[in-house]
Amino acid sequence: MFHTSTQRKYWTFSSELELNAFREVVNSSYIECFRDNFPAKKDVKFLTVEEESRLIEYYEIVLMEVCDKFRPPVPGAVTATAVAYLKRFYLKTSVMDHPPREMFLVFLYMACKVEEHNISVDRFVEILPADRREKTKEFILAHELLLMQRLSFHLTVHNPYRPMEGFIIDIKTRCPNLDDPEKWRTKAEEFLRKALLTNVLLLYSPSQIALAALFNASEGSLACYIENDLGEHNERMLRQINLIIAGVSGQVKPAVSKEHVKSLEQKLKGCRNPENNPDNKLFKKKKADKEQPMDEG
Amino acid sequence: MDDWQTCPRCKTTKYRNPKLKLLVNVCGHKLCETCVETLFTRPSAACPECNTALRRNDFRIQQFEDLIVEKEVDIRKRILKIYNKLEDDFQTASDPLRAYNDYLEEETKKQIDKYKKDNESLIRKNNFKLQRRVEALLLEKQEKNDKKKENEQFLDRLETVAPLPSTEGSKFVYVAPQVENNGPTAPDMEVLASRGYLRHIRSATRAEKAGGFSSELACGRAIQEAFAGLYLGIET
Repeated sequence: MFHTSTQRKYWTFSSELELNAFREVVNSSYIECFRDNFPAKKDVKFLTVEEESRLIEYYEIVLMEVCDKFRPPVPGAVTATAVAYLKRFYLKTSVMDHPPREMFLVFLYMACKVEEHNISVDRFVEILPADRREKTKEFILAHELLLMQRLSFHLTVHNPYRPMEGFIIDIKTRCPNLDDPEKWRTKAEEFLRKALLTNVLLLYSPSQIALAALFNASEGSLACYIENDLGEHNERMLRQINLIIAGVSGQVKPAVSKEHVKSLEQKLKGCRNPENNPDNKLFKKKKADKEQPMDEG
Repeated sequence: MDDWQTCPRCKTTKYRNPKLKLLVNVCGHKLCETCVETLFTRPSAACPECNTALRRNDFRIQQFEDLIVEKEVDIRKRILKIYNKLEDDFQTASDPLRAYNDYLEEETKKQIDKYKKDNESLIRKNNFKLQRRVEALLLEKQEKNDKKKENEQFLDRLETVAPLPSTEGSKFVYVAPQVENNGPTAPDMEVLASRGYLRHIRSATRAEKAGGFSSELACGRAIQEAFAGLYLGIET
């Protein structure tokens, strides 16, 4: 039940402003920490909140592309959960602390487990070039616990997919005069996919997002269903749905260009936390007796 | 486990072998039937406890828990075999029963007196020893009692501080959990079929049904999740 879930209690926020406040806190506390721990390093150029968000957005896309590479493909719920982990993780952790370039496969691996899509770690790394497999495998297994801890062990993610099926069944049953909802399915799924790249997941309940996806796909013909069949709050609900649609389609930013990402990655190299950099001496020292340090991934 | 139900030789207990039969010989030591059979292949052998030469025929089933009683009964029986005048032998006396009883008592008395005379000093010494032992025992008992009382008093005091929760109380009443879903009420599982919801989903396969996953379950869950949290952020 979503109502009693940790997702509603801890991971659904009231507004974009609240999310931005979180990101600013994370960014500034990381910079403070870095200055305390490494006073010798001066003239370090840190990423701004805006630049961090750019990188997160870019790796959301990368993550979804990787999901499509699997044969057989991973279910939509796995992708959605992995993206939700990525969003949640970087609300509490700075990109500079644990760069997404290394972490995003950990999100996906954990999502496969939680959504009961069984892929062993050995098969999981087969999507990578052969020379990177062993190191990535070690990295994933070493960072699973860190991820869970940063998510406060709230691993269940309520995705909009099942609610959408529920609405389709309900519409077919209670509004047989409406268009066949099956016609909207492709478009609605496309909508949910786009929604993964926005903050909508952190602001609205999964059922509202699912309804918005169907409403958007039906081009308004669903309005009578919402007005007649979903209780007395229909006006405000329509407003809420329009907010979601605006949040998904109106706000689509131009995809981050590869050159921009490259320059950001370059900048990240200078300001990342050396203790978490697999190539750094500090990291090697930390793990020296346990295992071989990993490639940058 | 009770000590008397164990064979001292093979350590078998009544608990492990309910058919265990313990036998006793004149020396007062016990043996189980199986051990007797293995030891006494000849008519006589030594007691494994005290090395007394025993005859196989003298083994009897143990009747009393206390081996001293057992032994005493044994001795009495033996003496009775010697002083075996019967009641009929006193028919000539004026009161035959009285005479018979006197006879039974007399013989014992005679013997006791004889013994007393023979061992006077030893008896006195031992009596003194016994008295001392009894006194020590009494003292010990007294101490134990004191301790017990102290403990009880301590517990009593505790009880006044934190009384034990009483077992009496109102009976448990089941209250069905209130499902708060923050959205429209989803239809109950029971009415899904009659309202036609199930017509719009793939019906459960045989294997799914066998696992307890009925069509209603899948359909109901989808609709419940669709309605849950639908009013989030729009209620006043």
